[in-house]
Amino acid sequence: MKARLTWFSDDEMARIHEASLKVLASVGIRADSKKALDILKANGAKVNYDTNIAFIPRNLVEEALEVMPKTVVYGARNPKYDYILDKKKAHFTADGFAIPYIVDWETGERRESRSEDLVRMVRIADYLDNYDEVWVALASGDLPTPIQGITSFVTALRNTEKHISHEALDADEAKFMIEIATTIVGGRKELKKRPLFSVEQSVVSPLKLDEGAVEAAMEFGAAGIPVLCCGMPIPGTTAPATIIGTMLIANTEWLAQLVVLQLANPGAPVIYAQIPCGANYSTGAVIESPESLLFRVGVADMAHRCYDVPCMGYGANTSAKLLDIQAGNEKGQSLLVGALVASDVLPGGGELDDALCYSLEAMVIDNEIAGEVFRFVENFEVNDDTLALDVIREVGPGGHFLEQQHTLENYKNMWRATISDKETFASWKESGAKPLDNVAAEKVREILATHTPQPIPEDIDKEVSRIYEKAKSELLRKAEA
Amino acid sequence: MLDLVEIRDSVINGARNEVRDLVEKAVGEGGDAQKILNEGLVAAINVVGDKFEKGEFFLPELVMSAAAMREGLKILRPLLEQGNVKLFKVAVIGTVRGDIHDIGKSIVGIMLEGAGFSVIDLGVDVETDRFIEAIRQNNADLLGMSALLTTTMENMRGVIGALKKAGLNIKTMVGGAPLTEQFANEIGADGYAPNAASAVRKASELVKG
Repeated sequence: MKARLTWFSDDEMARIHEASLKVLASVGIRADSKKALDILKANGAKVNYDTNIAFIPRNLVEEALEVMPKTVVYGARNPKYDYILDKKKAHFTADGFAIPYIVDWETGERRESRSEDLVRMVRIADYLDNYDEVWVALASGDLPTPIQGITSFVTALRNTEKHISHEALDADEAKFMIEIATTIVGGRKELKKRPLFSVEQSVVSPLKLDEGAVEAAMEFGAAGIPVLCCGMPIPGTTAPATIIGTMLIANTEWLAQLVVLQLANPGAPVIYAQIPCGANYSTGAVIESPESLLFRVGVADMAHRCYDVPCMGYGANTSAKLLDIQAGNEKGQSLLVGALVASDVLPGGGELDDALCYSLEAMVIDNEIAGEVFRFVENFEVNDDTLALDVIREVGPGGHFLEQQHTLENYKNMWRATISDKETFASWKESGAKPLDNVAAEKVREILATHTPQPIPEDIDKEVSRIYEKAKSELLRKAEA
Repeated sequence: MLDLVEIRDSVINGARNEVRDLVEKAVGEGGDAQKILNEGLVAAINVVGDKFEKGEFFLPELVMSAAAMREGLKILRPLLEQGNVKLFKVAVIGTVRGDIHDIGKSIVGIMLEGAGFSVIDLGVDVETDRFIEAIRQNNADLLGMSALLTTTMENMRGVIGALKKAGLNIKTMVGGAPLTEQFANEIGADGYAPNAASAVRKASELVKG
């Protein structure tokens, strides 16, 4: 069996679901997108075009839940990194998106993040074993805003062979991203089969679909790109000041996104990616807190147990500004919860300061924590070999198990530290008495000096460049207009 | 033709029975025991030590190889010691009085055997007199003492004092989780090792020459 964590009873989940249906039908959802409103209206929702509010009836929700896929494929530039989100296992990744600051890996100073930082960040995630995919974490503050997104996308594809996850601000940006990925994978059909990337498209809590985000999501749905339908309700500011009321807002927002996406493209791959969070009630900002952790359990319950769909919940996230005990505490707790609920997408790697700051050293440390928590949730079968009764009989009372073939065959399954200190005081001192962030910094330097991912084949990369150049000039022109 | 490579690989793989059979066969076919020891067993244990240092091997591999080496030595020892008074260095080991912790000391014992020592393991909760008696009886070259508790490690000081009083000229080394190099020096031990692998290295150093 595996260690697993759940929270709601079946009855409680059914009540949240029923309450969501009531909100959708009677309060409605605001969609600042004519395209989204039209499709809802055409399928029987009552729409008020003055307020942009659509009242979604029960049957549309039920049909969407019926037609959505129950598992999602993540393809990668290198097929050995393909995998399926099947609600059974957490998959770790870096944090995203457009994080504005980074702790400089050479000076230790916090500064604006630049495009070369993104290259480093992606390469490190490509190298580290526990990163199953790569969220495009950093903003490229040195580039004009309209082309930052597309540039990050191309940079990420070029610097990792793993699946990447990004976001698009509107349908135009989405189309360019799809065109580039289509070129790399070799056609629209192939992209649908093995989507090289996924996207997180956000709702504005409470209950509002942003025009750009939802229309981009519809483009991605048509191309078979998995969409992480995401909202971030906060108790007391963008949701009722109760944990359950906030869960209700989160669940309702997800269902609203689901309905629009499934009406636009029945069977489009979706992920339940709501991230309700605790808040600092002096500033209103989101924070890591016990409530944030609990929401992750609630989200996984609703996704896996109520709707049978893969989910995403935050992972290695922290409010800490540097790699101190608070960072370790929050990242450790949060990743363990994420692993225990089998969060199909478990991001946060490298993140600091509630996703305002990033650290390459943190990426390395988070990789270690992820390895620990994944060991925690492995499947442990109870059988003759694992009970090892024969071996116990052979060794007997007072003996030891070191000379047993069984030991030699099995001890390697035990977790082993990669960067954490597990030495004696004497040998720790002898090797320089280094704190963990120094060890991580050494690892960062080593990875950057030695690891180069396979590049995109030259002829294909030429075509990628052509589309990228076209995208840049069109996105810049549009921004000026 | 002696197949020393196969013997060496079997020791490295920790394949006890294979080592026993191969050494028996080599001896039966008239192989030189000294050569089998040096180029088969000792060569293997050196490789195992290297792999341990590099982090490719861990305690279970180390112990399995040492145990395999011990199987080979059982056959070679009587042949090598014919006529010689004593070919192998003798180590007496034990956990000191009041302390019943066994595993660390046992690992060191297995590995010392693997490195070619004759090991007399007195077990746990060993009184000073028993150490002295065993050293005399076996004409030992080295005494290894272990303790896991800060309350019992002081007993090591007493044993070392008693050795001097008894006029026994023997190298002493100590180890165990709470010990430090400083403590070892303070109580007049000749050597200290923080783990089993370095204990074997230290032991070999101490008894050399």
